[in-house]
Amino acid sequence: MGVLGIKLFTILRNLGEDKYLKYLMLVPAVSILAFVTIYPFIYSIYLSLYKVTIQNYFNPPFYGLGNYIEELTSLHFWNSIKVTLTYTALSVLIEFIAGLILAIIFYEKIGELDSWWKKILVTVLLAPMMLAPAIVGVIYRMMLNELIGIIPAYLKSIGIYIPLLTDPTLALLTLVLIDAWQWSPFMFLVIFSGLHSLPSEPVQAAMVDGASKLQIYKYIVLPLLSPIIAVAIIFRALDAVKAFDTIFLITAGGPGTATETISMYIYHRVFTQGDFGAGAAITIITLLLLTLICKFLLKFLYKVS
Amino acid sequence: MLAVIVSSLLIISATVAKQSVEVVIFIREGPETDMVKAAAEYWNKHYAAKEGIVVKYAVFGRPGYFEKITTTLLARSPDYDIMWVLCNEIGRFAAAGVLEPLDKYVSSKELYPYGLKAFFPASLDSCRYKGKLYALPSVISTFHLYYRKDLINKLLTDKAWKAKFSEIASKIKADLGKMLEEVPEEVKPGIRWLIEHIKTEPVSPDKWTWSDFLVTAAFFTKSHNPGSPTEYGTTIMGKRGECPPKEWYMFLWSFGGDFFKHGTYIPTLNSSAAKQALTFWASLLRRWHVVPPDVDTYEYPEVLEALRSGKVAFSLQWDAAYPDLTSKEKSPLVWDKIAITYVPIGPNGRHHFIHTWTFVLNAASLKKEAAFKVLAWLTSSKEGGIFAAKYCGPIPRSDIMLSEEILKMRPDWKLMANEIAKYGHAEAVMPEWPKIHDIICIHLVNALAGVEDPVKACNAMNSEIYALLKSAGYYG
Repeated sequence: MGVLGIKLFTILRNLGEDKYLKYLMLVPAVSILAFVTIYPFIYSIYLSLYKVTIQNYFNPPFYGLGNYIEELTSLHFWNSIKVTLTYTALSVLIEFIAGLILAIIFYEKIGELDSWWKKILVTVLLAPMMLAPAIVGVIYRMMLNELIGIIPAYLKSIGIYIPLLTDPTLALLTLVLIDAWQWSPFMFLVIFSGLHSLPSEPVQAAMVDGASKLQIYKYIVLPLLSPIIAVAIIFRALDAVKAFDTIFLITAGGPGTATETISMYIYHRVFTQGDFGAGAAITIITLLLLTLICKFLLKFLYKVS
Repeated sequence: MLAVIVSSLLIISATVAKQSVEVVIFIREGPETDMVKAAAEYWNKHYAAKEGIVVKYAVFGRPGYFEKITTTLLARSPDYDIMWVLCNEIGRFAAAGVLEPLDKYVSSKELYPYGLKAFFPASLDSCRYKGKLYALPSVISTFHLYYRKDLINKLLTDKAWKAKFSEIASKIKADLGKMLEEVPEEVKPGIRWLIEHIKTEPVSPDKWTWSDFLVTAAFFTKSHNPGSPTEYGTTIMGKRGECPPKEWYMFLWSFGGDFFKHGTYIPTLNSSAAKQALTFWASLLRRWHVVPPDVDTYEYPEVLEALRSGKVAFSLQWDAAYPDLTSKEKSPLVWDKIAITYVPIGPNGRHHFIHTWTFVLNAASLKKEAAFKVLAWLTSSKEGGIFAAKYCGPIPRSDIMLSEEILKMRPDWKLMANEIAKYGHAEAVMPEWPKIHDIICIHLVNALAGVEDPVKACNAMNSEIYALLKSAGYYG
């Protein structure tokens, strides 16, 4: 096989100049990429222009921008956008704050612990991140159950009743906290690694100049960390926008449509209601919205840094 | 010589193997897989050589099963010949042309020696679309009223409990009187009916009206009766998805409502009866608090757990829960205390929701006739019925479900057969049904969450369904 590859390479090389060869070498990778990403994307655009349902799947009528207009004027669609943005903003904010605090505590105090404790603490802290979101959904679905769940039971034992999943606002907040529980370790990991990779000279210089811990973090460490933080926030924000499994298993978008994120909405439109055209249109609109949000977020975060 | 014989046998068996057709069943993970696995093993042992058909199966996970089956059928993949489909989906798959009509197969005595007459009509009707038969029923499901017989027996006999019941009945009656002044005119007949049917004495569950259901639920709810042995009287399924509408339809029909004006596709979910049914259903949570406060996250497993943990005294629940609730290992707290009966009676009598899991023939299959033989055997033969009964649920054929052999295994199916035959009611079979179901579901869960008033929710679901069917060309 290796000999065959070298022979092919030699033939291609003899065929022309090196500048053509490099493009030829790209063909396999680009073909795979085109097949798995570009083709579905173009097909989505095609679907979004037709009124495609399960029953007319093989002969759908052309609908032009009808799907886009219907969705952009649908209250359900805008509700899901609102829910998604609220969910994303709150969960990423909480995760960032929790991750930052934990990373600083670990960075400052971990040196005092022996390596055995270090390993245990870091493993425990990172454990939620290792769980599949569907597993998290099942665990919390049971833990939050009013009759058999440990969380309502504990709250009841101290005389508190909180409608965690029944009040529309609190239900969304509960899901945000579950997301934060699972993904704060990711923020911690990124920031903690960032802290270790920072140059020590600026911090030492500040200490010599008599700067306090708070000043060192505020004026030196955080600005130096900001490119890393920006990437972590964008990674998490993109992931939170796509959140599906946990929400699907715990509330399925309820009560009412209070926790119906855009992914849930697309799922219901495509698979429950069988509207492939509308589903494709929503994904295109969401993609455009996400591109705008990412662009804005990147600009903002780099400006801050 | 021996070598010659062995090689001849090998050649013969290779020829037989080559001639035999392989039929693949697309099945969902769970008890249905156990059923198909056992049936396939039996078939391959007893019929494969005779019929020249070998049965195989491919298992797909429960989450995402509907999506997988949709994409497989629409891809016109011939990889699977027989598929396990819920009757709700038949309309849209049939309209897409991805299901093989079965009429010509069932009319052939050679291919289908069983006859269709033994099927319960409601279940067979749910397999037809535009007059053509697209599936054969495999397992039918309905709801029972599961109740704690120890608690109900005590309620029917204990003096102190009866006195408390009477006190609670008077309070609920007074509250309904107050409610009568608050609700819109069109909901009033339902409330009046509930008031008229409130009794001060407890009644046996098989005779319950929705009024008895409500008062007994209040009796077993701690906030109404601090001495109640259970936390809540009952529970409902309120999580967006398959379950809430299917449960609510029983309230709808028993209050006198229906989906469409008789003989047409004009929706009637804005009727007075529908509004009464939704007001009553949502009020179980929002007004009377006789169900757990988080029922909007409940579906089958949560209701099962509520009964199993002894936290509620009774509930409507799918028939599939019966083996779990009466198993000593699975339900150690209540296994010997659970009984089942019919769903309560409303102004329009008693109605049991039914739906059927069916086997369909993939239109893209390259071995349709062989596949149909297996499909027919699975759904209509006594052997198929035994595998279904042993691992999954009842085949809705009176000759199978009520046979002595099957009733020995599942005595509860005698009641179930009655529920289906006398009170069974199914959804409409039409391509738009899954979407209609979802529209109904959104407004039901909205009403339950208090986001939408029940009357407005009914009006909204009705107008959305009308708009959907109008755009689909139903009204010319």
